[in-house]
Amino acid sequence: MAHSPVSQPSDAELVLAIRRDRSDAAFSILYDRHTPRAFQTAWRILGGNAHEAEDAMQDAWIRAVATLDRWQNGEAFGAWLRGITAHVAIDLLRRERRLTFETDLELPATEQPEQIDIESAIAGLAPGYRAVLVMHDVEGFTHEEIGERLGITAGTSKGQLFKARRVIRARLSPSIAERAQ
Amino acid sequence: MSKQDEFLEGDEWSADENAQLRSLARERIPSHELKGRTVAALHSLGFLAAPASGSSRRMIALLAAASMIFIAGALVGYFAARREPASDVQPRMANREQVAQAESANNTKPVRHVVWY
Repeated sequence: MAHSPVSQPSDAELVLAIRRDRSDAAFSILYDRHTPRAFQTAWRILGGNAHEAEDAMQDAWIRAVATLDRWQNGEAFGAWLRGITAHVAIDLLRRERRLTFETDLELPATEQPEQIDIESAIAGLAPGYRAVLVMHDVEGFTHEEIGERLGITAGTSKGQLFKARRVIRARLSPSIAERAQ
Repeated sequence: MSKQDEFLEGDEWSADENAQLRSLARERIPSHELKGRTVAALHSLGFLAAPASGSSRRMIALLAAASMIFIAGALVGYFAARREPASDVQPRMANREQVAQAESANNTKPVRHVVWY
């Protein structure tokens, strides 16, 4: 790795060191650099369950290191890792049969508006809604990308997002109205 | 774009809602143990080079120390064997000459042979 003592090695240099030398030190730097952001993604998709999010994060790193040759140098490593992490978190929901997609556009009957912050509102969403909302509105995935990862159509993803936003809006409206006063 | 798509995409966040979304934390620190577990899993799967264990590290250190002691001993022995102090050469030479002179002196001493008939 050719770099001055002051500058940090780039992601590309670290990835090369892991692929070529199976370098522990390179992985350690890459882990410290990108885990907090990806862990947040997993934690949010999994509704704030830290234990499950850690399992997903570990699995995501294993998948990432196993497929480092698929990472393109021009692509941001952090975004690539977050994509894998989101996929793993969604797989976890699917394995436990928690990931369901409603076909109607009605609000779930159990949703009751209450004054909460947006993080709690997201955590309280049904897993299918939450996954789409987090991936689209927080992580910036397109509906096509979400559809690929969730195994649904882009149209279904749009419908899920629409419903998720309505639930969030209903839950946040008292607090928004209060702040407007 | 279908009418339903237009309907769905028309439901964008307000400025206030967007501000709340942007205020969400971007990072979260997992437990310290997660890194250790992840690295251990990557070692066991062969994706990272296996670290030397504590006992093998000790063994390597012992072997290195033993090698250094052996090499140092060999070097000391080698140089000690080669070293011949200059002051020590003359007396030895002198001793040799004295011995040679003494022997030659003995040799020049007439030997008397008595022959009995």
